[in-house]
Amino acid sequence: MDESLIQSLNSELKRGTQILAVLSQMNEMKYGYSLLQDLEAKHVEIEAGTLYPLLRRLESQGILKSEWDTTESRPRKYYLLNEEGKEVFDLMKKEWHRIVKEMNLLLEGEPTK
Amino acid sequence: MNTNLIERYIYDVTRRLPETSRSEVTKELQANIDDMLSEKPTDAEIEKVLIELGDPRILANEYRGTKRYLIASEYTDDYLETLKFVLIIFGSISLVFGLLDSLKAPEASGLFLTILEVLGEVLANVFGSLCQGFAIVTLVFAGITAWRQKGGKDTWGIKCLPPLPEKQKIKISRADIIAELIVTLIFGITWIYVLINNASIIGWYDDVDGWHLLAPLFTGSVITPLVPLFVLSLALSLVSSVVKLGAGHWNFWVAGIHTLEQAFSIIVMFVFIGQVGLFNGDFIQLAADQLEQTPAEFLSALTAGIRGFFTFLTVVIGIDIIVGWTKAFKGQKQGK
Repeated sequence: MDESLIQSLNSELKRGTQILAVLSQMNEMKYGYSLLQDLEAKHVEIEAGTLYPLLRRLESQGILKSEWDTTESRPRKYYLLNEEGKEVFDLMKKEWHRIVKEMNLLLEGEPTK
Repeated sequence: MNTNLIERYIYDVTRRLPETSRSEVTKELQANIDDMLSEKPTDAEIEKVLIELGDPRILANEYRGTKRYLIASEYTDDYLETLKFVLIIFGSISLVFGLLDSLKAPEASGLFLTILEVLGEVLANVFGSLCQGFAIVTLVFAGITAWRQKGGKDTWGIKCLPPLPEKQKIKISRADIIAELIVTLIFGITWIYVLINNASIIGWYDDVDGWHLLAPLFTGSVITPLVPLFVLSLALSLVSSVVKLGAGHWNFWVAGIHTLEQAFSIIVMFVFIGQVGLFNGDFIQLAADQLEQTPAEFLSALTAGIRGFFTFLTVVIGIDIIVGWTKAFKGQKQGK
């Protein structure tokens, strides 16, 4: 079996879940690296080079709000879901459950409860 | 700690971004990198983090959000196909006109130098117009892509579907090729035979006391070195016929060898008629006397006539070459 093919197919599968994974962690203020660590602790792998630009894009799409904290010795940019972001996250969560149900039906032949 | 490395990395990312977002991304990236490092990082640690962040080009692309293309990927096929077509047309046209132009009045004297001069000029000409064709097609497609990225839409509809191609491949008639082959062989071999034996075959004859040759048509010392060129040209024609017979229909190989063969034969003919002192002086004298002209007048009229004829022939062959490529293209499309 072609290892690199499996790898690229799997990473394509995961790519679609990245935004949902990020949004799920954004109910409290987080800066880029802390979010990376939180996700890692939950065994969700996302590359730093993907995550940082993604946060910025989500902000420009009006889903996240941000704030610079310059009180510490290291300035940090904190991100947080805004009102619209919370709605978007809820809708995406529903969509995710629907997809899981449908996929399980396809893969296992019966719906999960 | 080697902050220089981090600054250089950040610069390499942000220089690819629009100016409006540069300072913000710089600050953010600096903060993120600092977070990933310990209080007093070693150079090795910095390198590790930068490698983790990856190629600045890719990171910049991620920050930009939208990917930028010169030619949008959905147009790549159309672009390449148009490019091929335009390049072949531009190449053929400039080949034909370049040949005509440079063969009209080669400055170099001597066979070898003339060939070099003609080849050089024609190649430069062809290269120049290939570049032009490439630039025009690329600009047009880049324009379409830019327009699409600005939100322009050409909505696809059922009407956009192309008609089905005709099922038949463009066949090469075997009978035609065999007839062509026989004619080429007969004429080619006769012509080469004549050239080799010029002094004793064609020329000005006198029938006093039976036929005997007064003056041969060509100057033997001028035409003898050219014989190998004609042999080569004939050999190319044979190869071309065999390839056509083997393929049975027009494809790029056939069109290529056809172009080579035809172009070579016309070059050889022009080299031949471009020779200084091609015609034997005695022959010209005899013919001019007969027509009550001076030899110089007769020779220039003869040369002009021959050049005119071959110029016409070159245009015909040029068209024939383009037709060959068109058939090859159609054949290839239907083969898909």
